[in-house]
Amino acid sequence: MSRRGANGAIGLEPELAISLYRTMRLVRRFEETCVDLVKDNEIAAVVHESIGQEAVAAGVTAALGARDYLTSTHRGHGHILGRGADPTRVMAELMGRTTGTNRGRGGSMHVGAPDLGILGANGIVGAGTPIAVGATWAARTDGGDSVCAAFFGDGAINQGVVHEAMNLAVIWDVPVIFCCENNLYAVTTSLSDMTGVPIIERAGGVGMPVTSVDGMDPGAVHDAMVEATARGRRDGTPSFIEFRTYRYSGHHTAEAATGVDYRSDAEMESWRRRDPLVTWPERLAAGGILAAGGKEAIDAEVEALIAESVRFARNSPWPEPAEVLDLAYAGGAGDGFPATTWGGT
Amino acid sequence: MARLRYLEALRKALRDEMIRDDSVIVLGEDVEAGARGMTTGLRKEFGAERVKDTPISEAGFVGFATGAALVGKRPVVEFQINTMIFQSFDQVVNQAAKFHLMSGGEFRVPVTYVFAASGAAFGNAAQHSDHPYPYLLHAGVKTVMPATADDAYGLMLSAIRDDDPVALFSPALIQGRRAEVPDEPTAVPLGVGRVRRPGGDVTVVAAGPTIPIALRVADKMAAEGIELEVWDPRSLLPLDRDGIARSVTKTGRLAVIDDANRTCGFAAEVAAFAASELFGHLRAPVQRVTRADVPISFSLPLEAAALPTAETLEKAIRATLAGSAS
Amino acid sequence: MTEIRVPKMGPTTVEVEVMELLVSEGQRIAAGDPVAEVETEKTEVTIEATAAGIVSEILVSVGDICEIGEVLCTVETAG
Repeated sequence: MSRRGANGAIGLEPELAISLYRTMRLVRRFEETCVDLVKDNEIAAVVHESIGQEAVAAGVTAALGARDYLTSTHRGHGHILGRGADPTRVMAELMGRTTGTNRGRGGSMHVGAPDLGILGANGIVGAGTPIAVGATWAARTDGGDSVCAAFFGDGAINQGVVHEAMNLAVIWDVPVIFCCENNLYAVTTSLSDMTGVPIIERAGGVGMPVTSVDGMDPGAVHDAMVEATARGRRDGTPSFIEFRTYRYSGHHTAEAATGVDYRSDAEMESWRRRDPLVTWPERLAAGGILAAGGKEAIDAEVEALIAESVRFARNSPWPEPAEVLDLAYAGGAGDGFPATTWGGT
Repeated sequence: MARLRYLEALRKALRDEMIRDDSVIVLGEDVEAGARGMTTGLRKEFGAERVKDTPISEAGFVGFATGAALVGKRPVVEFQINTMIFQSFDQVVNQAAKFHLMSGGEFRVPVTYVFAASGAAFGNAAQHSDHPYPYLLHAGVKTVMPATADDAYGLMLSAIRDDDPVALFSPALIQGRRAEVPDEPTAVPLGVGRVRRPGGDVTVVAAGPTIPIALRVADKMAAEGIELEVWDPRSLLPLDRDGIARSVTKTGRLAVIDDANRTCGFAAEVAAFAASELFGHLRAPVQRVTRADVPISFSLPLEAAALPTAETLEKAIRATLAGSAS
Repeated sequence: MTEIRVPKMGPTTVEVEVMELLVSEGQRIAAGDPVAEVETEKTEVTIEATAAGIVSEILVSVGDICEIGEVLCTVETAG
């Protein structure tokens, strides 16, 4: 792994290295808070936590520029927050309030924000990838140099549409960075049981540069993204990056209640020892980047932000039932739509 | 005015909009060569950035169009065969059609899906003969099915200009027919039906390829003094329910002929609307003439037996004339 | 006697419109001679004679819509 600069083991600009920690901390605490809110049913249904995978979200989003795009997944809070979405409005979205990023219409799996280039999180595995290719292509026809990070998991590598999208990016020179968060499990099924060859071998046949990096190291993630985005901006080349990572939580907040058991304690423990929320600040401290008390200050700032997010969301209004049809169509749902009489007449 | 074939009218509408609006692009399988006739010559006129051949990747290129639409393009996606909708179903109904609402109104998806040579066309067998618009209606996708070249032109303009996904079905059986099309761009709004033939005895709601059937039956029955009002919704969603109501209020009798499957079909929706909202005006039960709910066989007699026909429509009309609700 | 029919044009072309008739009754034609100009929904097509002989009867007129397989004219091939 290449390392630049003179800051010990960390090759990144100090400010960036510290911001990666802050993003990871924000995502971790946001999601831990979500888990509690789901248990109390303040957040409906469940959320899919990315606890353990924060280094990928932080490293990837830190490498994107203002005009770049991102498509996210069902496990997307990290991507959204890393990209700069306001945590108070994301929390309000998760609680279904009108002040949410999507006025409560999307929820955890469908956050989108045009001003941040977030072209939707997606509840369908792999389905955001062709959308990423189309948007990035369109943005570049107007002379821009946009790139896009299209997130998906290891489970998506067996979705046909992901391969269709990768092929479109190759034949039309669209610089989408296909960001595969390999946490080894699609819900409960292990990657090795479901896929005949290593992920990057599968992707390599499509015709774009592929690489595999340590997804528990935000610096390594960031480096790989910088290389891929630079290549993409320059000549339109798409890239595929496998981020080897792990989720410490279940597939979703209610998994424990379902009684499934598919990961060994030893495996879980080996990955926990590599928790980027522990290892990264240790490295920053050892490199002299994070001064004494620096981590604690960030943690306190994040804690206040999380508390404010929950307070803001709780105090925000619910949508009115009468608004149910309002956003069905861009032009509104008028008399000609049967839905206007769904309850009979 | 010029007498254009239906398919020429679609092409003219697409070209006129491409000239008027730089954000309109067209993509699909074999659109550069114009294999389906709608895009002939457009690649040469508008270039590779606006007219794109795609691989045979229906889910991929439909999703691509959604993405392009999110950042300002108005893609027109041509499905070479209308049943290819099934391969892209997630991208149409679960992505494009839901994006506006899911995003809280932040994003718009102004995409037009054109289904060329849709429906059955004599011997294309089970996998190429469906007329799958009810699936889209059920999912809330705006859907139009022009029956004549003038409406093909006008509805194509409206579809492209609409800020939501719109599906346009161009039925194989009628896309060679000519009609007068205005020289100046004249859009036909979505959700406005049209009386194809006025009459006072029975309302016949027909659409797309069943319009010529209904008109033929109307001609025949007129000789007996039975006047059918052939009413064409043109746009299946949104649906001009007021137009249906006006006609049924006048005639008191309704037969619906629809070139799609029966269960949860378009005819079922029209019949349910009439039964619940026009009951007081109906003098006989509503009649539905549809396809049989069965895959289309290759062999021509079996294909014909599964499709709605002039004979089955005439029988239905006679049943509604004989029937009485009181 | 041979019948010259509207040939198959494509998988979803169901009918053509007769734009121009290029033969007249009593005319001697060779196989491959143009018989009629027709239009499908997409394009113009010249229908060629499938047999040599004398055109005995023309069964369609300009402007007619003909289904695939419909007889355009008959040709007397004997003598």
